[in-house]
Amino acid sequence: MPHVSIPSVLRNYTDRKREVTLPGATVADVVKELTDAYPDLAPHILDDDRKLRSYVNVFVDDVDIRQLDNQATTVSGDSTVRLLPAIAGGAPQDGENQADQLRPGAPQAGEVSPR
Amino acid sequence: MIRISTELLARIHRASLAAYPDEGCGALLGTFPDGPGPRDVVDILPIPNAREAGEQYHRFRIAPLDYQRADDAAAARGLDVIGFYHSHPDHPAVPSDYDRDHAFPGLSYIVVATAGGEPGPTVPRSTSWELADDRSQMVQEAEFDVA
Repeated sequence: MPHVSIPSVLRNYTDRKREVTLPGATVADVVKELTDAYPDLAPHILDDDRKLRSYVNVFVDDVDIRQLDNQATTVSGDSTVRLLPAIAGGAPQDGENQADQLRPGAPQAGEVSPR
Repeated sequence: MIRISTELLARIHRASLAAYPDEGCGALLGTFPDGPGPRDVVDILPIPNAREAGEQYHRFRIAPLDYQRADDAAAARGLDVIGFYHSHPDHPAVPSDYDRDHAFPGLSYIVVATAGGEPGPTVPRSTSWELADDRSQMVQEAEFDVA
């Protein structure tokens, strides 16, 4: 069965497993098996239509599936399927409303400790 | 909650200043708590900003395979990628909607304000945030007052 490599940003939803083995003949099959096994993972990689979110990159044996057959890309028992969400961000646009970021009234001081 | 040494925080600030006027970025390597407790930053790994040159002044992107390499480097040391840092040139150390849209729960996101090549005039100079489980907002977990 194909091996699925789970990136750190998604391991909260896979019992912190780095890799799982799931049945499937295509990437779509494997993704379905993965989200069936770990339903809490689904909102973070699938949109409301159960399609892979645009910022989730999938590689089969280190090749981006966009260069293959996308989710119809076939996989074998030796395949490694990597889910690699885009890590991105940036400064607010001019006029962007940041009111939806919660800044507690009393600072929750981080622990900055010398080593 | 995050725990990070002043030395590592200073390295993040220096890397962010070096990237000015563009955004700098990198991974936080460390450990997750077994139960309640802070995510503990053990090291940082600066990563090249993969956005187009003309966009780097207000955007960063970590290329998928660079992220994979960071994940592998952490694993080789018995660590995890427990979050990321990036800078906001000439903007406050507050996450944008774009930051929130690309964040994941359970990780720490350090934001550093840089301006004019120096720590920003905004106080705090850097902050750390985590995404709410429902993805609705970024919640501040720390505020740093070291240079």
